Amino acid sequence: MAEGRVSETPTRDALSPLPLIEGAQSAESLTGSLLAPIERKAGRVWWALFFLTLGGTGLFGLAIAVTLVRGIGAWGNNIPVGWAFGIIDFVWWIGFGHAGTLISAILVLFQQKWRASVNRFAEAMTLFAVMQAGLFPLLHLGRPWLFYWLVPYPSTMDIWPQFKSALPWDMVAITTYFLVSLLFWYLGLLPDLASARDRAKTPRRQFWYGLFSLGWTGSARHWHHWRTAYLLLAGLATPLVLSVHTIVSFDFAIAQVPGWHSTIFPPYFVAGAIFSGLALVLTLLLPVRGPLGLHHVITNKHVDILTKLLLATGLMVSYGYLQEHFFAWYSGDEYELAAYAFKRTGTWGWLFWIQMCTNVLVPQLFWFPKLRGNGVVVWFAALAVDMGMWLERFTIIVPSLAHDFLPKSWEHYSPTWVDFGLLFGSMGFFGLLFLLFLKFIPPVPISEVKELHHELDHALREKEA
Amino acid sequence: MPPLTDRYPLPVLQDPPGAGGERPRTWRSLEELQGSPELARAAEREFPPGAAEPPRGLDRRRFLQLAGTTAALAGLAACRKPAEKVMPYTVQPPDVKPGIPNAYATAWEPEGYAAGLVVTSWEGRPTKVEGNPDHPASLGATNHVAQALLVDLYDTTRVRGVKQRGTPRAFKGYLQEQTERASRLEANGGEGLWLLLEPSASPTRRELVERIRQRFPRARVETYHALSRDNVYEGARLAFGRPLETRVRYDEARAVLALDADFLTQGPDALREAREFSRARLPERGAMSRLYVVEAHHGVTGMNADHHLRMKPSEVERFVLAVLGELAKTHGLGGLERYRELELAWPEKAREVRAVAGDLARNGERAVVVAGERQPPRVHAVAHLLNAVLGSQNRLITLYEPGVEAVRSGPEVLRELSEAASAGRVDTLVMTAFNPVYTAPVGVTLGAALSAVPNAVYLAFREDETSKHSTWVLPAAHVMESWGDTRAVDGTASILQPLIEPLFQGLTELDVLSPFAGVAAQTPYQLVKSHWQRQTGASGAAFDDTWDQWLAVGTIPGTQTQGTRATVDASAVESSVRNFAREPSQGLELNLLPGYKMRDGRYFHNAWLQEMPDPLTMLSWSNAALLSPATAERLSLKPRDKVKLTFRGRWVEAPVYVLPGHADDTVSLELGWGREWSGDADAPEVLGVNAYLLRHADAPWFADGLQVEKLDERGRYATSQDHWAMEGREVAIQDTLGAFEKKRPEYLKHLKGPVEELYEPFKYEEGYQWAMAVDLSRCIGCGACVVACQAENNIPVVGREQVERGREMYWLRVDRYFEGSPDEPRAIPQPMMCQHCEKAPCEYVCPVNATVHSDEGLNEMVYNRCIGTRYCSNNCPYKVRRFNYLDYRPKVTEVEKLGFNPDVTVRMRGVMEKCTYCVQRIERARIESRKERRPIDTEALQSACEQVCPTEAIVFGSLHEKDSEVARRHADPRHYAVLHELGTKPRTAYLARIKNPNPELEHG
Repeated sequence: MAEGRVSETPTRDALSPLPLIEGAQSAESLTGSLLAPIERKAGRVWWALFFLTLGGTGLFGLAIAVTLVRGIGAWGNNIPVGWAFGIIDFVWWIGFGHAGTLISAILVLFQQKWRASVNRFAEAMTLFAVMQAGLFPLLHLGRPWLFYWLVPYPSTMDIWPQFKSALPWDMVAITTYFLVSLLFWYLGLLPDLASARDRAKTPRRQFWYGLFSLGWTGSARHWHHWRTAYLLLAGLATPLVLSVHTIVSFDFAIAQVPGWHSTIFPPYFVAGAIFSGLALVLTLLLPVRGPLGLHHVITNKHVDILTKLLLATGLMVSYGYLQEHFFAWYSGDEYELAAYAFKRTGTWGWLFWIQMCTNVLVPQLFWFPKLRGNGVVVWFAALAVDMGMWLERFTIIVPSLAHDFLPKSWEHYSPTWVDFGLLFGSMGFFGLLFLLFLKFIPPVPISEVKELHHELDHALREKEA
Repeated sequence: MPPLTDRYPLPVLQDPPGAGGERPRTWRSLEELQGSPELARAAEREFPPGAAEPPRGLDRRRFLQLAGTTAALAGLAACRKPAEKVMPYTVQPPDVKPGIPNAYATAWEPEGYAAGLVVTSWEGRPTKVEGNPDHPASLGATNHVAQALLVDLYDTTRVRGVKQRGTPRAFKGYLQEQTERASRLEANGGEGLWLLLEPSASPTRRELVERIRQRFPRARVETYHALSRDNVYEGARLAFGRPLETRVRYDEARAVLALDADFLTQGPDALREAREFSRARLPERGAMSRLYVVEAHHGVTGMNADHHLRMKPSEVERFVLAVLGELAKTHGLGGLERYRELELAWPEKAREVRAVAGDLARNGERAVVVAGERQPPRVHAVAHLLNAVLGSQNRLITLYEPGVEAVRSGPEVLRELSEAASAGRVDTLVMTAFNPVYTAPVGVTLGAALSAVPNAVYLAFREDETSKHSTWVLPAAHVMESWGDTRAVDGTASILQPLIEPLFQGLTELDVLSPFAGVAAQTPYQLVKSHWQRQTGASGAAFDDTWDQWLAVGTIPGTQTQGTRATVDASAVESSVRNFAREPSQGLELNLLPGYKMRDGRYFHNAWLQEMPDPLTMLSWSNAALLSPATAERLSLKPRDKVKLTFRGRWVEAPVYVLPGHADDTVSLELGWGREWSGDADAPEVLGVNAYLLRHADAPWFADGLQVEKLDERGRYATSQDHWAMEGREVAIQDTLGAFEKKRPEYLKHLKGPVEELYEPFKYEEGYQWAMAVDLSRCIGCGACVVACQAENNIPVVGREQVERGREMYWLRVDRYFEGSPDEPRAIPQPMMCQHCEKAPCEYVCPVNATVHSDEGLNEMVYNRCIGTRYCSNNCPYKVRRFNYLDYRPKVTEVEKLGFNPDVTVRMRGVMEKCTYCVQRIERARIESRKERRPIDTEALQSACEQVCPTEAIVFGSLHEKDSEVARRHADPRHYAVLHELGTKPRTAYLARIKNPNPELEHG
């Protein structure tokens, strides 16, 4: 189909109750509407949010500075609770990252058409979440300036990292994940950056978009190479969805701490990560699609699919919870039994039960199509899952450490303002990056949506014929 | 073992020339020594004599000569004030080598009597205190307080220089003025002269005091100690007609009844008694002893009792009389006929009384009754009587004439002083006793009274409540800066020799007393030396040799006495017993305890002791009101509730600590707290509650009539172990003798032996295989090892807030568990340090190889490589790894730096650390053995915790020597591995704690 030809017919299947693209759209109208968010001037709401998140970023910087100057003692950690907020936040953020890669890579391979309009969004979220996540293991070190000892480089001291430990693998997994996600995201961005360049009206925009679009002309050769590279990267990224959180789960599973030492951890962590990632996609998608005028490409159909996925992964996570507690009981091991009993009824038992509500009960709402279609319900449910997944990491990490083998070691843990500063500060930083993303980069992949539009159109015509 | 002179080379000083003329103030100064012809000769040679040959094989005289010169030379550079930079030796003395520590014997007086010490010194800097193995009251061990003495030595908040009403003065000025005043006082026989001294067994001080008494017949020379032993001496006076010290051979005893007596940790001979007691607690050594402890609180001795019979402190007297009655009536013990008619029974406690009396009667001369210092004289007298009739007085007990002046020295003394001073009858008051204003009982306003004394002299270690009201404040020298002498309970005399020149111009008690004794011209060194010279009758060089020998050994041979004999005055005891009025105690009782760490408060500013957890309560940095669980419930109090304790119209506020095993209806409060701690905190904070505010001269220890009122506030205390139950886990194992004997061959089989492994385990075959064994039957839980480890390994103090956060840094901790019901628990202490697992869970999780295993079985920690992930600590099931969460040494002064052990790295922020089995000691022994081309003497090689342990509970050694003590313990039927089921294969074995309860008292 030639550029600019106006399609008169709505691209929708009469049998499908929910369309992927709403309204009568043409390639031109799509390009225009999808580039609109970055071509408009920033509104008041954007600036308000910008300053809010900038403040959060400032808090983050302050908390980081305090941590570096005073030491980890500025946090609430102690012996036995050697890991707490730092690692919880790390796992939480890295978990969020999983939805992006899932949507963009795995769904590409499975040729899921609906992914087109949400993948940019999800990938950006992934990148920014991984950036937050990557900070925490470094800050968490007692001597963070020596972090590079985790990297297998040929050191003059002739010492390699210890590969029996999960942490060097963590380092490799996260770095790889970040790099591949970045490449994948950037590659997908090229045609859209070129579109933005082509439509840019100021020399500055022309220059910057021109620079980053790497001379994209849209020639058949470009498209050919681009498609091959995109598919290859999708293939490369796919195992990462599984590997990253598997390795993160090893941090716990290979240790012998009661409540950590469990073979269910790798799949359970991966499911949890995707679960939380999908929830965060929904949390961010729902409020922005209206103001950015993306209702026609991010439709209720997308929300419907995402909530169904949320339900599916929620069930997997619930199964993981069940297994954890079942195996603690089935093992008959007194330390495991005590650790899980403490998790349920101890000092932080109330957090565990909140987590059960948000992560097990809340997703059950999405058995009902009516609730899946209700944006407010979905948004609050997704928010609950976001929070619940933080609590999940808390109840895995803190109560297990606080209640291990020797009763003498049992100790209370209470976080400090720096702990909360890092948690909320990282949210601020994430939000800031996300706002900048919405302002400067087309949030929906224009070329892919246009392609989808064309395909849907074509399919409809064939059907009609 | 090599002879002692080799082990403890001497820091002997030669007499300065012209001694006895004008008084030289510094005794190690360059000026003094330059006059010495011997030194001049030595300086002419290229090398000092003996520098080119090893000291081994020298004859004694020659060695001592060399050593003397050495130390004199060492004094040139090593004992200079730390504010100056250290200079290299121009002539290196042969015995002081940089990097090679020396050890010197000395002693200190923990409770008026001597305990021998051997102090490690690096080029003149004392860094570690050990017990003197050749001293009868130490046997190589020390208590927790001695380990922490170094903190006081290097404390920069000590009094610096002599002050008169706040103005700095020269010591010469003091001497001049007091000598003049003394001559004036002499005219009227010393009317208005008061001396307030602490009980001390020092012969030289006694001589000075005698001289003062002769010179000033009307002077008042009083001894005062807030924790006085008046009751002991009064009890002996009642029973024997004269004050006597009692020493018990607990290793021979089969039944021990301790009446509120914490004999394992308190009393002048506690270290020796603890060792002997622990030797009778081993099932493999035949008959075990059985210990009954009758007390209100739950002390260290109570923790080791087979039966902890808790009752109000005032009821202990009633209990022992009931035992006396039972022994007289039921057992018809000879010598107790006259008590048969007396109504002494106590029906509510009949079961316990019957069991205890039966056990005492059965064991006869191997049964002993001991009374605590807090119990009234009558209890002591009855104990003496019972020991006499049981026969143990001849078998287990040695009586000694007191080495201290056994005169009344309790709070009553202060009342008299205060009255005299207020009435203007005191002209000159010399106080060397610790802080009388703070320790004074209620109603004695000593501070105000002191202000009325025109010439109040106070020898103070720190500025305190008393120094504020004194005319002259003199800086007290630390025991390691002092020349002096002392005696042990058995008479063994020791010379105290200084390890370092006084850091802050400190003065000894002898310095302060000398102008009044008319010997102001003599230094303490001269006083002590001349005293002993007169004792021996020897003179000149002959005496110098003897003197040097004494210093080297740490004791003066031939001064030990064989004890004395005395018979119990039966009728005196009887009339005392007849006078006993059985007034039942009403309501709540207040029970004041001597501070376990603070003593009377003198160690309040000692950070190591502040931070050390109390053995029973695990409290650090404060005391608390101790209550039993039942009483707490009755008063609806929860732990950390703040209460108002009102006693005779005065009150204090304290947080509640619910202590299992505490007596009901009694509230215990430790003395020695409630003062301001300036420390590192920006604002000084008051730590704990000052129990002296409730102490009355007529009720110094306990009395009824306490009111407890719950306040709305929450109190605060830091404890390193909140959870006291073991949750049925087999962690610290305690069993009865019967159960152990029954299961013996199979005993704890599930907790030892090989574990199944997936891979071929590393075979530890070559060379030394370091290992440790902790015998819980011997361990009394005193905590000396905790402080010893801290001193040896430069372990930082983290402070109250960090302890509350759970970040204490102890490499070795003593866990304390209770078993059974909260009311009648069985306590069990368990020293816990790195177990050096052969399959260590910490090692495989470290991402950077910072913790690795040696082929000698050590789990090694490489601080340089550690990046601080804390993964190892998470994975350590024993949680013995400690993390430097903050920079715990932000402000180490130059003076404090002197106290560090140079063999051990001072760790930085962000690094993990843990017990190394004292690897620095292993390596030093390895270097020595290589030089001498012999294997390491593993039996002589001791870890710091092993060396300090009074009861030989901890042993360290190599498993490759099959006949070593550690190998023997690793094969003992009682041995087990903590958390054996995890397959960590720890190198530290624990030996189960076997109890010997009386079947008649067994519950259920």
